[in-house]
Amino acid sequence: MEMEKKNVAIIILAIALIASGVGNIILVLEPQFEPEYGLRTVKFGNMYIAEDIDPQYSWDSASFDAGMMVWEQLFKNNLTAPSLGVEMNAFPLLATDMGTYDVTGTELTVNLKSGVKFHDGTDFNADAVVWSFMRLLYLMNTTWNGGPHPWGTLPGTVFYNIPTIVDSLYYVQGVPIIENVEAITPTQVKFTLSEPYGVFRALLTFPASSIVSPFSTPKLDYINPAEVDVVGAGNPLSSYGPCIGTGPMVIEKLETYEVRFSAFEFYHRPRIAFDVLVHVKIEDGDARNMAVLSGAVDIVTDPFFSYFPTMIAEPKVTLLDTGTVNAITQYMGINNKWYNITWRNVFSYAFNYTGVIDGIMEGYGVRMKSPVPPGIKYHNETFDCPTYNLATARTYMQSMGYGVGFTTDAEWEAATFLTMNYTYNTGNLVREGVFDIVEKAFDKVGIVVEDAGMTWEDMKDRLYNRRVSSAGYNAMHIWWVGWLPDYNDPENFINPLMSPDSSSNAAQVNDAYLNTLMLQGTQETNEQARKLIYWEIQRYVVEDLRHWLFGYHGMNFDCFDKDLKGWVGNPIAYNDFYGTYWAGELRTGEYGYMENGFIPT
Amino acid sequence: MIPVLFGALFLTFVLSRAMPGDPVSAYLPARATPEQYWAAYYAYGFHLPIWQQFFIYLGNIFTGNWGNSINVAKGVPVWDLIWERLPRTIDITLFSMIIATFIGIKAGVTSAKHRNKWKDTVFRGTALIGVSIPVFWLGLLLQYFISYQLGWLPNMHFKDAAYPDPPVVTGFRIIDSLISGQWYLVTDYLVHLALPVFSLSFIFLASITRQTRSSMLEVLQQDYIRTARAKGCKEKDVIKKHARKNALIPTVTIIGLNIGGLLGGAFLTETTFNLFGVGNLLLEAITGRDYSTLNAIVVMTTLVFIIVNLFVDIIYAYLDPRIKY
Repeated sequence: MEMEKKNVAIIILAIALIASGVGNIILVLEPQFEPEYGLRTVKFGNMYIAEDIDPQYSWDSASFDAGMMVWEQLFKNNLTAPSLGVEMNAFPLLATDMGTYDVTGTELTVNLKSGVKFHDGTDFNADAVVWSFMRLLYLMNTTWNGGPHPWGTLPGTVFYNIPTIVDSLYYVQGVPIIENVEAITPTQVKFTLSEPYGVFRALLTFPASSIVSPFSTPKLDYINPAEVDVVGAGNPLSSYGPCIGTGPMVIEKLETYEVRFSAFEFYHRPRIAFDVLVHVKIEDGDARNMAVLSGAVDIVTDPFFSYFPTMIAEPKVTLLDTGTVNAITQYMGINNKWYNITWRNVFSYAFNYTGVIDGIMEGYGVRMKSPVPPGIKYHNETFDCPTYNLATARTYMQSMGYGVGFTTDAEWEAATFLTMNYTYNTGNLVREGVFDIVEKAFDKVGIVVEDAGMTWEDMKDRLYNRRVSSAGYNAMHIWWVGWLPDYNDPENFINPLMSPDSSSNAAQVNDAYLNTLMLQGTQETNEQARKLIYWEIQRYVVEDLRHWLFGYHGMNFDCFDKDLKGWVGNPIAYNDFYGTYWAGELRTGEYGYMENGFIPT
Repeated sequence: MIPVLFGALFLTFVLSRAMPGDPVSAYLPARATPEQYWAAYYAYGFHLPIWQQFFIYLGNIFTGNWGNSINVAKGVPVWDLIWERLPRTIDITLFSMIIATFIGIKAGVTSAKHRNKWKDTVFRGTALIGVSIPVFWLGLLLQYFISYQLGWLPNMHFKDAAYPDPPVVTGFRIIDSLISGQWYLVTDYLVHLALPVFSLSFIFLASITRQTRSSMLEVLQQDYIRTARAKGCKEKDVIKKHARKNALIPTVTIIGLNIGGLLGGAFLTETTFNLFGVGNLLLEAITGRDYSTLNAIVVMTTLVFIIVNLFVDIIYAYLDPRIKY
């Protein structure tokens, strides 16, 4: 009997244990507490994730993508309408007009919107504009109104220990562009510039010109990314961290694997048409492409060409040819210090451009014919840009006394008139592919190209002349590189790459006529006059200077869920989700210009 | 233990600095000026001789300062970064190793028991595939067929991006989700771990199966097994009581090494499935020349190996009472 009782107890216990286990498994497999996710979420899969979230510090594209949902500037580029060859236009965002210059061209007066709120509930006004630019100049460790900055000197103990890296854009020939910003009225500010600066309106669209909340943003330090999601980290007034702008979304969380935003209900334009945006870092390219196909994310930009057939065949996603080329200029740099115009002409006509576009890019690119890309202000590609022409290249060689009397390809290929290195970063498939092409192409004119593959960090040291003694500009002969614009102005594609004052001028271009034109282009504030100057610059470098080989622009493709609407690509490659919405989920008062005809003003 | 840790730290410190590439270049945006480059270079002390840097680093470690990440997550203390990622790696490791160990040992024993029969052929064939197939390739196949074609399981990440994170108590997502009562996050997490855990299990299951089979075959030839059979022991008991325990010693070594390696990060699997564990962090630290993070991960991995080896030694003594320490 005793034994039976014991057995019964064991059986009961065993049943209870099993029941509990099964119950737990059921709970796990069939969750009873689904979250209240009526929220409309957009998940964006990207190779990178925002590293910095301080508008006056960020420079990488992922941080810009995140920042543009949070911060806003006085002016903004219209990213919604450009197509191939159509220029983007700027429009007033936190301003009501594009500003008026005085007769000297050094004072720009801008009227501001009223009724705009920061995410912390405080008002946007002229004082906030002044404060934001004071902060920018403080972080640049420079002067204010011709004297020492009233906030003092940037200490060496600030978060990053170095002055802000965006500051080089806010200088012209070593002098800070912005001298002073004054609040004339609560809705009017006046910028005083150190000299006339035609680029200034474009500069005001750049993230570092964002207007931040004086009540929540750290005054004397950068915004620490680790504190972004710490409630009230910036100021007790704020229910969020120190990332307080006026943008359509509020940043909630910044992690190394995702950034999460929610809609700002008191946005000054129509409310964004979904509730949550998540930037998801997916570093592996295959995983990223598979993620959009399987629905793990809703959108990826620049999908791999190899996935195009699957994406086209897959009814759940749309592969969008945005009809735009991106404004990244892909070109072969030439060290102008070592190679004169005759050599540069040889290179220009000997290179197989089609091999790069059709071979490496599989046809998804267009020939670059000007240093100013399509979609960017004053782009003009009507000039005589060299194309592959072996006979012309050989004629130039013979004009220098090389290969005179040669009549066959074999003779040219057997000769070695010049040996040069081709610098590229290993692992970059395009640049590795270009080596094969340039090696074969230049062999046909008796030039031997040697492999100078290295890490990207080492290549950057050369490109930006950092370690002058061992690995500066002079160590490079030719190289392939891309240039991503900071803002929509041709100056951004010319001066940094061709001015002897710029650390990005790896080609060591130093041409008196071009220098004069560049200076005129930055100082001219009349739009028509500027356009003519930049047309002449483009003509000069394409037809006469030929300081690079003009390569290609990639074409913009995006792949997204078929129900995600309102997404448009743009040449400047900013991923702006304002205007995106889910089909059938658009509510009254929300932004959905693609269907409802809203114009972003 | 201390000399091993010190040696690992020293070697990592020196070798990481001997790698091509430059942390400052990796840290700064491409267009930073030479002045900004050198300012950062000096600020981080890279201008000092390596031995001097090492002693400064050691001094900092003794005061509890392992440094901050300079590239992976700027300014974040490296151990905060590692503790944030480690629970995911532990989860994957434990799930994978539990599955691989139980099935692998069972399969290895069965295979040896039925030598050259169809069961042996099947297990050996599967094990051969397991040891031959690269883990990332298996991952891609699973992503394509199971996730995309069949739509059964998510293909990447450790959670649905639309879902929030539970309040952090332990750092372990399952435990924190249970504590906060968010059961759906547990489901979501387990579902997201299914494919990576399967990939890893399959690879390790193969090596465990092969090792167990070969040890079992060796043990089954021993005199004491013949004696056991001769004295009339049932075949089941011969396997369970006499053979299996003795055959497990090399298998335990393999399991220990695998656990140690996995806790240091299964970077291929974590990258393929976008899991953001320690392996992924290690890869980011190497590519970003994030020396502090790299050093801390190597020290952590070394420590894990030492501890796991200690456990393996203890298990040896349990499996074979003749072993004394």
